Amino acid sequence: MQLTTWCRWKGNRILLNGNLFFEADKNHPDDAALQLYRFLKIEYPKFHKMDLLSKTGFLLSEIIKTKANTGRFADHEIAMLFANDHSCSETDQKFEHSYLEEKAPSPALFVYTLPNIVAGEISIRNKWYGESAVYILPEFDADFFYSQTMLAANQSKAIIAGWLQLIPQTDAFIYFAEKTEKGTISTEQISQAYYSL
Amino acid sequence: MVKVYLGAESIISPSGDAETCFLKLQNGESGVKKFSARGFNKEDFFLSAFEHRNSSFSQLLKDVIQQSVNKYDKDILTSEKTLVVISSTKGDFSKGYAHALTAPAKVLQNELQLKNFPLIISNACASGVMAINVAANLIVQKKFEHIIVAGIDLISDFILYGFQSLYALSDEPAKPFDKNRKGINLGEGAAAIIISKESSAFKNHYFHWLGGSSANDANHISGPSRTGEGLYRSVLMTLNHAGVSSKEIDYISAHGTATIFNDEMEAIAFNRLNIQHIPLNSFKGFFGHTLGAAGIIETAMCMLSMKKNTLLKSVGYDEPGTTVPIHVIEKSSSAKIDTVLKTASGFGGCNASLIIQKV
Repeated sequence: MQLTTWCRWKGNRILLNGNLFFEADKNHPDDAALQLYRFLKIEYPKFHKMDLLSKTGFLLSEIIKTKANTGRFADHEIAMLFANDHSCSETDQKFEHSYLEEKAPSPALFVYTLPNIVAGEISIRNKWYGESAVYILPEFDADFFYSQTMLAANQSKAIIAGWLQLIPQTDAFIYFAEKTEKGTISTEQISQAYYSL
Repeated sequence: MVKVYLGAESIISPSGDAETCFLKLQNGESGVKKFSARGFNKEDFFLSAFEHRNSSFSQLLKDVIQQSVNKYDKDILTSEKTLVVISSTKGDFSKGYAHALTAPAKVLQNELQLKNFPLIISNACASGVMAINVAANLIVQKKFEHIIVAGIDLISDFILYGFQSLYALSDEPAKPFDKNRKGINLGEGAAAIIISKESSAFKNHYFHWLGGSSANDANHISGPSRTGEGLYRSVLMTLNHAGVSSKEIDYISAHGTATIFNDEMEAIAFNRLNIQHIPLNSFKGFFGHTLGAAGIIETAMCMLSMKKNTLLKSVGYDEPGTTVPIHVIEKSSSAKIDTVLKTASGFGGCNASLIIQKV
C-alpha cells in the first residue's frame, strides 16, 4: 500500500498533499463545511441532511478524489476506515435535545447517532461496496492507521482512511493508500502528514 | 497460515448466563417481557432488560471479561500480548456523550491492569461480528497472542426513543422472519469471547475461526438494501476467505431483527447465495436486539449450539413471512453442526459475516 494522496483539515485550513487547497472565511455566515461544499462545486443534495461528522468525511473524500485515481478500482476494492475519540457525540447531544427539550425525538437526527454512518454516506456517494470499519481511539495514532492499512491489503486494493475529530474544533485527516509497484506507506509518513497542520 | 481459535464464551443477559440461555432457548422460552410506560409517550414495549441492574456499564464489562478469562488463563490479562476489543454502539452515557466509549475503556484498563488500551469498534449492529473478525485478523498478523472480544450495550431512553421515532419497535414479542413480524424488541447485555492462536489455553471447548469479512450496501444509511447486496457480497467473501463451500455450512445464525425490511433483505441475500435451504434462526426473539453486543452474544450461542449439536428454535417464528423461502428452525432438534455461518447487518449499510468450525 502506497500513500498517494492525503488531505488535512484543521480549523479553517485544508491542505491537499501538503499544499493549501482551501481556506474558509471565518467571518462568512456559513460554516467551513458549507463553504467548502460550494468551493468543490458538488451537486449532492443529500449533503445538506448529513451531520457534521458525515459532512467532514464526505468532503475530504471528495477532495481526495480530485487527485487520486479511485476510478481504477472495482467497486469492492476500496476499504474504508475512520476513527476519532468522541464518536458522534455532537449529534447524540442534538438528538437528546430533540426529545428532552423539543419533546419530539427526531428520526432524522437519530439515524446519525452512529459513528459509522459517515462510511455509509461515502459508500452511497461512490457506490463502494468494500470493507468499512469505524474505531474510537483515545487519540490520533499513526501506528494504528499504518497497521490497519497493511491489514486491509489482504482483502482490498486500496483504502481511504483517517481521523475525523470534531471536538473541540475540526481536526480531520484522510488519506488514500493504494497497491502500487512503488514503495509502501509508513507510520512516519502518516504522522508527518497529520502533523503538517 | 496461523490457525485462529475461539472459545471461553460468556454472556450476562437479563435471561441469565450462556448455559441458562441455551436451556431456555431449547425449551422455546422467550427472554423478552413487557415493560410498562417505557416509550416516549409512556407506551409499553417488550424488551429483554434487566429488571434491577445494580452493576454499572463498566462493571458489567469487567465481569463478563473476567468470566471469559476464568475459562482460559487468568494471567493473560496483564500481558503485553493481550488486547481487549470492545464492541459497543453507544457506550456509557453516564460519562457524557463525548466520553461514552473511551471512559469505560479507561476504567477497564486501570482496574484490570491491561497493558494495552482497549480497541473500541463501533459499527452499528454489525459491530460484534466485525470485532471478532478484527481480533482474528490481529491474531493472524501476530500482533497479539490473546484477544478478549467483549460486546456491550444497555437500553436507555435515548435508544428507545430513537428506534421508536423510526417506527422500528414492536409492542409485542418480536417475531423474526415471521409473516406477522412488527419490529424490534430492544435488548441489553454483555458477552465476551476469547480469540487465540493457542488452543491449549482453553479450559473447555473451542472452535476454529475460518474467516470473515464485511461489505457495505452503498444504498441507504438507515434502510436495508432491497437486493441484500452488502450481505450477499460479505458472505461470498467470507466463504472464499474461509476456503469453505456453502455446501459445508450446517447452520446459519442470521441477524433477524424482525423488521419487515431487514428480514426480507436477508431472505433475498440467502437466496442469491443459494443457501436458503440451510437451517437458520434469529436469536433476537429471545435476547432482543442488543445492538453492539448482539454479534458476540449470538456467536457465543453458535458455539454452544455446535458443542451440543443442537439447532435452536427461532423464537417468535410461526409462519413464513418473506417473499422468497428460507429454512427457519421451528423446533429445537439434534443435528450434527460442524460449520456455522454467522451474519449481521446494521445502519450505515454495513454487513458482516464469519465462519466458525469444530476443531
